Amino acid sequence: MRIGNTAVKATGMASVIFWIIILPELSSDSVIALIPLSLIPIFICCLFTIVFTVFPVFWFLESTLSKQQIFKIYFPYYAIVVFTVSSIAIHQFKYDVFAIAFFTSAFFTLLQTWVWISKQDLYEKV
Amino acid sequence: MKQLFNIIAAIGFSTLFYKQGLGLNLIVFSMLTISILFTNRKAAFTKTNVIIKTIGYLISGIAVFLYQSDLAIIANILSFFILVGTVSEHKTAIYISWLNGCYTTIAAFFHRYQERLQQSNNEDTIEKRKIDYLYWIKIVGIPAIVIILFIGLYRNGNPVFDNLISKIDFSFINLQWVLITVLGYYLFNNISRPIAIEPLTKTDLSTGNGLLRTENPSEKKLEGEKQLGVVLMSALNLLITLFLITDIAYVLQTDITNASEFSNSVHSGINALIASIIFAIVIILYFFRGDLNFYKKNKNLKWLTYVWIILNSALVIVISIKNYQYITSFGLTYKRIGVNVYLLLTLIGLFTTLIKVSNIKNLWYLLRVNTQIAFAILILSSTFNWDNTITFYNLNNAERTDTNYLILLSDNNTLLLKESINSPLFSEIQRESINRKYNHYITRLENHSWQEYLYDNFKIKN
Repeated sequence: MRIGNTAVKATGMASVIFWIIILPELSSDSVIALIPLSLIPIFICCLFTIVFTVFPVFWFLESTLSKQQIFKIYFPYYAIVVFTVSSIAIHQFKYDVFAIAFFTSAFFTLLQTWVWISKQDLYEKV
Repeated sequence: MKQLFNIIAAIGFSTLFYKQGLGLNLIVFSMLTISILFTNRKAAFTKTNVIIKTIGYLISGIAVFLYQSDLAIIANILSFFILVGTVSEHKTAIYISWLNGCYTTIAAFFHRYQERLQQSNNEDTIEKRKIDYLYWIKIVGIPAIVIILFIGLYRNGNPVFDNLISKIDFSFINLQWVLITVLGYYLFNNISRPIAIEPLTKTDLSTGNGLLRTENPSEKKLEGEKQLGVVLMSALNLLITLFLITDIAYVLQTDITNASEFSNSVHSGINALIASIIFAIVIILYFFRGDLNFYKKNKNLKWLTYVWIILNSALVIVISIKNYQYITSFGLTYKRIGVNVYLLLTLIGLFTTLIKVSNIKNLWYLLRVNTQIAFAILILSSTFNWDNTITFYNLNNAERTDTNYLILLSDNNTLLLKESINSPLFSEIQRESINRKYNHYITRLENHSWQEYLYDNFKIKN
């Protein structure tokens, strides 16, 4: 599995979602300069979350099931758990925009990561 | 056409919820959801189960409009997921429907996307997609970054150019409104084609409610198990009878004017009941888990089990009498209503366990029926204005009333409190608090937009 490649794609997606949500809330133009800088923490967050929550599922089960089968069986529960955790976290942070942006981008990026990883089987055949 | 409907619904979604509280918008959203589900899955709406869940969902939406209580909001969200899940597969248990509904709502887009990729699993298509992906990054991404960089440089170099660029104003586009609309589209697109979690749904559908007899069970083992059951059940029946007699005697003797003592008695009774019922159900499930159900000589054990269930039900009734006495003396509170709801659920749980034993059902039967009943009770209890009920009862029927408790309840009892402000039960300071609460509530109602309208909005207009 291509960890680096997946983490880079996830960073791109998470950054786009995060900044689209948070930009209208920021009044100063100077924060735009923070966008390239934010890629570093976003990359670290993506890498850790993917390595510790998504990849282990595939690593443990790949010997017995194909990536598509793993997706079909385990993705629904993963999605429900991530949604629950994100919703609780947003509620705990009293619907703060930063929390909404962070957890929304994390939620959608993690779900898309599952699609990317399960797709890798198809590409590897080419 | 369906996509257009989803887009219109998405615009409706942001109109209903963008920077709005909950009220009338939740009923409109409920109707929008039902329309989308009906348009895409007409056949599902001929099933009784789907119709019942739709009615439950609408009732909870109306309850939010009437009282805006937390219970009604929870019931509405839960029934939304259950309805979507029931449309995806109407024969599954309610908890499976809930999971299916949750999954459809939050991740159906990704599920379908992955399915499409799998379907187009041929080398040509994949290779083409890979090239397209890189192509778009090159064509759109790189020039965009370079242009933004150069605009920044030119703005510093030329004041006229800087002035021209600064005049470009996109403030008329409300990005957050757009985002809410996109979220609405994502939601409606997801629920427009409900999906089921596999293999969970198939497993649930293939698992019946009845127990199956195994071939050639050991008669000696069954006889031994039956004897153990008879001894255990007889002893437990004796014990619970003794407990009931002493409990009834205690109820008759207790001085209910002593609030703390009576409160302790009710709460310790509840704790004993919880332990007893859980223990009872576990024991019953253990003995009636398999072949003992089909054993010819199991009649004594079955009768002892029925007696034990009836005695546990009697225990429930004794505790509810204690709770009733407590309520008549010291008034209604949420905790005391909670005790009643718990007692009702326990009674139903005991009754379904009795059916399980008499009709030879399995554990899944208990789980399916009890969760279905719990959901029905949740919907039903969301239709009550509990704050108003508590206030009305305590002011008119209770022997002693904690009036501060009534003032601290939610705004749902404000109009009733205002009507009863001249009651001798209230002190002058409390009357001031009621007036403050009333004025605050009226201001809040008057500031409501049409999306946030509650039933009380119409009440104060008349």
